[in-house]
Amino acid sequence: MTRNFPFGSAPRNRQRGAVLFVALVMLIILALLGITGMQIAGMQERMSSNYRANGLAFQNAEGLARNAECVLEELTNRTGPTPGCDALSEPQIQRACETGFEPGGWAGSLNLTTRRAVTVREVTGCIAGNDDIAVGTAPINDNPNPVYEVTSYMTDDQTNPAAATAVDTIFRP
Amino acid sequence: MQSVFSPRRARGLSLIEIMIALAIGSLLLVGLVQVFAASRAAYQTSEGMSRVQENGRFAMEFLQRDLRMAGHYGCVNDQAHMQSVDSLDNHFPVATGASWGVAFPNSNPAVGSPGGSIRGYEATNTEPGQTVTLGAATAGWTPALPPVIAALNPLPGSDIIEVRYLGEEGLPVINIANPSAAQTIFTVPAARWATFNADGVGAPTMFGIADCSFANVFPAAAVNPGAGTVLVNAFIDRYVAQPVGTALLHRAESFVYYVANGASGQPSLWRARADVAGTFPVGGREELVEGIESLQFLFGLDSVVDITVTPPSGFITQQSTGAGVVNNPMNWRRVGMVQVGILASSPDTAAAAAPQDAQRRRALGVVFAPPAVPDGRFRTTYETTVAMRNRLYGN
Repeated sequence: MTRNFPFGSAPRNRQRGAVLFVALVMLIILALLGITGMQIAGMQERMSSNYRANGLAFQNAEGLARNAECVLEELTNRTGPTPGCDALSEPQIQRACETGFEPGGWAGSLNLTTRRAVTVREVTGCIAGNDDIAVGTAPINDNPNPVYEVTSYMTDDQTNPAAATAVDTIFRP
Repeated sequence: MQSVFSPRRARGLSLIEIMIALAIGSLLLVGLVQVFAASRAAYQTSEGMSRVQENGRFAMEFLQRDLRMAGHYGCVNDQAHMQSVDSLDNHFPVATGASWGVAFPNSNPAVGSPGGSIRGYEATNTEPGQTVTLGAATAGWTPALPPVIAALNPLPGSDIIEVRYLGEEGLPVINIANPSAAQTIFTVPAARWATFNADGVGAPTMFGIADCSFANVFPAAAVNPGAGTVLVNAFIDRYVAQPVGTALLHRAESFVYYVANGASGQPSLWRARADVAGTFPVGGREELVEGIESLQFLFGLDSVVDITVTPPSGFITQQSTGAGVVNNPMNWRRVGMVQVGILASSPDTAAAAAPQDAQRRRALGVVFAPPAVPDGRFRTTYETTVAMRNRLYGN
């Protein structure tokens, strides 16, 4: 009678098989697979959000430059304020061009905490030249309007920035 | 007591039982294989689609970036410089087919320059409406390729484009000296010299200096990154150093974009960077994106036809292939917009059937017929329009 224990508490020496081991190994393999998958997905997510941040920063900087150009156009044409054109006010325009301003150095001095910055200077005075003594024979440009250099810097997101772009452009209203 | 598993009670299976079990088992197995095969095909297709999508996006990113910069010569673009003699001086020898990489523009008509900021080579039989059979495209380009570009072994059936400009970021020139009547030394802040090494250019050799009046493009006779100096074998004295002047020194860039066989044997998008001799050395050739099988370009031309008499208007009214523009080489100066079409294919087979005639891929009107032997690759096309930001002066 002591040998027959069909169910329940069998003695320790009667246990055989490796179900528990196999199950544990399977579990480890599945966990590894899951972790790898998570890491791959996380990496892809980071890659695409980096791409997105770069694109957004570029478009934002372009938008800011365009906004400043809108202000300059209003000032030059003396037209009324356009809603949204508020990147800068008139006193912020640098009227002298030989100020030593240089876009690469300016943008390099800013960092993500700056978030949004725009510099406008009038470069009309620095464009003199390319004329000859026979003035009037072939006017290269008789446009009396000034020429501006607009340099904008902006990040992708204003509250939590991850990327920044600087755009330097010449604008003639 | 007898054990339940006594050997005497084991009888085995009869033949009939085995046959039935095998029949049912193999039926199930065939079904299982079918399901696996279908899911594998679906996986391959979605993998191929995502690879094609990301390859297409990267290719567009590279092309857009460089096309947007074409014609950048500092404060004023090449179109404006070309309006007045000597406004844009080119100190390279006049480019020939053997030194085409340095065919930078030159605004002095007496010296002349055969090249310019942008130029396309239209592959034969790739006009809008024509059909290109993949793997069996007609050889040849219009205009004919200069020998240095032909040496890159570009694949036929795909347009080629070359762009030249001064690099995005310039360094302020803080000192200009003339040690002799035939030499000039420009000094930039040495701490920022790394700007000239951007994009993996270890030893830059081509430079351009520009302010809002003039631009000069030249080969460097010697550079000293530690001191931030660039020596030029030319007498250049028309710039004023910062902060009084506004001169910036840029690295001069000259690129060719083309399709050639990549490391995997598949067609890839390549970019070759010219060296100071005007050739495209092996070290300057980069495989950018794999699986790009064809590039197609259309050029938008300014409404002003004779740009030597009237300045460009910035109003693009005409569209032409590279072969159409080349009828009058002056037309390259009118280009203000480029339309780009690319055909991207998956790097691996993607269980894609060859498309029916009506559903063939098209890029900018060019129809791509599948290869004679179906290769199962997934293909799609992308198109974009790039405004040449630097040439649209005044807006």
